[in-house]
Amino acid sequence: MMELGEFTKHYKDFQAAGVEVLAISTDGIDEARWTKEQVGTPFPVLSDAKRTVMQQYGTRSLSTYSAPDGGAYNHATLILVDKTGIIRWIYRNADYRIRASVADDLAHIRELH
Amino acid sequence: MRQILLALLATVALYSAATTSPPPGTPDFKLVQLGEGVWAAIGSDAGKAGANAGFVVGENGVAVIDTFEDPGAAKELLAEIRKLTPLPIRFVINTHYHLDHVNGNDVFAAAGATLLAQRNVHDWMRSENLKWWGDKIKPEMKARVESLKLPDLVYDQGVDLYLGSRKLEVHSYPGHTGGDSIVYVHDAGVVFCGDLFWNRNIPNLTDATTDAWLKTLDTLVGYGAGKFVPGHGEPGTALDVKGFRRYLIDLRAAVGKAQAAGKNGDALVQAVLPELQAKYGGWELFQEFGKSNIQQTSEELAGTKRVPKPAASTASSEPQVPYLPLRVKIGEKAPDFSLPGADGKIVRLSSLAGRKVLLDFYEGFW
Repeated sequence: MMELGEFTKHYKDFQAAGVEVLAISTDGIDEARWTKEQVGTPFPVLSDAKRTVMQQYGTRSLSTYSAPDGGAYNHATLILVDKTGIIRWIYRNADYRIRASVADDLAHIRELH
Repeated sequence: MRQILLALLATVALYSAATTSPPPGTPDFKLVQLGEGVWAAIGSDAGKAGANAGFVVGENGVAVIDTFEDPGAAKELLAEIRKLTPLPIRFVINTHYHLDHVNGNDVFAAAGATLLAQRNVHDWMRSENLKWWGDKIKPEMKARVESLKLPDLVYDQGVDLYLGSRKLEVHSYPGHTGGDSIVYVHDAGVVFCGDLFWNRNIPNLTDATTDAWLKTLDTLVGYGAGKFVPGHGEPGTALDVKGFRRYLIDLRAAVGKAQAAGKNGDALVQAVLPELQAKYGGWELFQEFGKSNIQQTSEELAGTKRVPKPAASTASSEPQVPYLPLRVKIGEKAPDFSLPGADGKIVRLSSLAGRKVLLDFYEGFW
């Protein structure tokens, strides 16, 4: 398990850093439930099947692959929002398989007051 | 610097302490003339300057290098300049973002100066200074840091400034924070080094990358200038710059040796401290920074040290990547949304106000 699994494994550290994790994908609710059960994530796994949040945030991948329902996928993106709702850190990599390390994520989270 | 340390150690409110007047006859700094129209303002331990500053008078104006730790000291510096010349204050160069070099920026901005600094200084001046203070910061100090006057103009590598025919070269070099500059007054053979040079003072290595710093010091020595003004300590020569370089080499060697012997943490500090003290215990700030220099260098050599990162590295604008540019930016409000979760419950972002939130856009398990 990649990012979701890492977050799950280190969830105590995220809680200690005072952050809520929200996982978002284009999965339908059934797929989201399947993912949540497979990974055992303690945090919400949200379904953005209509791609409204993808549109709002612009996280759409330009990959030629398309989702089974014909829509676009998210390009893996981490967005850290502070207590007042302001975006403070963003992580993306051209290679979607490369994610920031959990230590790096936590460091950015702890930096926020 | 001294005041910051006192404030940190004793959690004394710097700002309230610093706004009271010094005793009469206790100057916050002394002026040292290093060439025609070239002055260093050397901060006094007793005063509220907190660091060194300087200024250069040209044919048509004045350039000021750094603005002290306290606006009161900056006002005194402005008054001293006014005694020497009626020419306008055209430029202020911040050598780096640390508070003891930028807290009087507003004084000189109000006097009409354009503020310049390396790009990262603009990005870090408020955020990284707040980080330095941590949670114990007093509300008035927090408000002050959050309203620090930022540079009006930023550069990456450097910029040349002309005061009439007088040329000042501003060059950015790595080592101390990753966003430091020096000001080279060519015709006078004077280099204002900011905190890239500490003269017989133990440096603040909180943000430092010492291997890059050593190369920077070689470059500075290579200027062939006669006088080097440090950020802390008295003006010196190339020999003093080499002396400071030696300190960093000795520190790295001693820490490396202790690491090779399997030491880490407090045991490593205790193993290295006597050796360092024997040679450098007489330098100013040894008590304040000696131990942290060892710890921080140990982290640096182990590859675990965190230093401030340029904002660009966390932004997301590489053109060749297989994703569209985000529609959101750092510093902007995160657009609100509601989505159903795997359990069918609706989660609304704005209902989490007051909590930090990490949004993880993923597909599959990636």
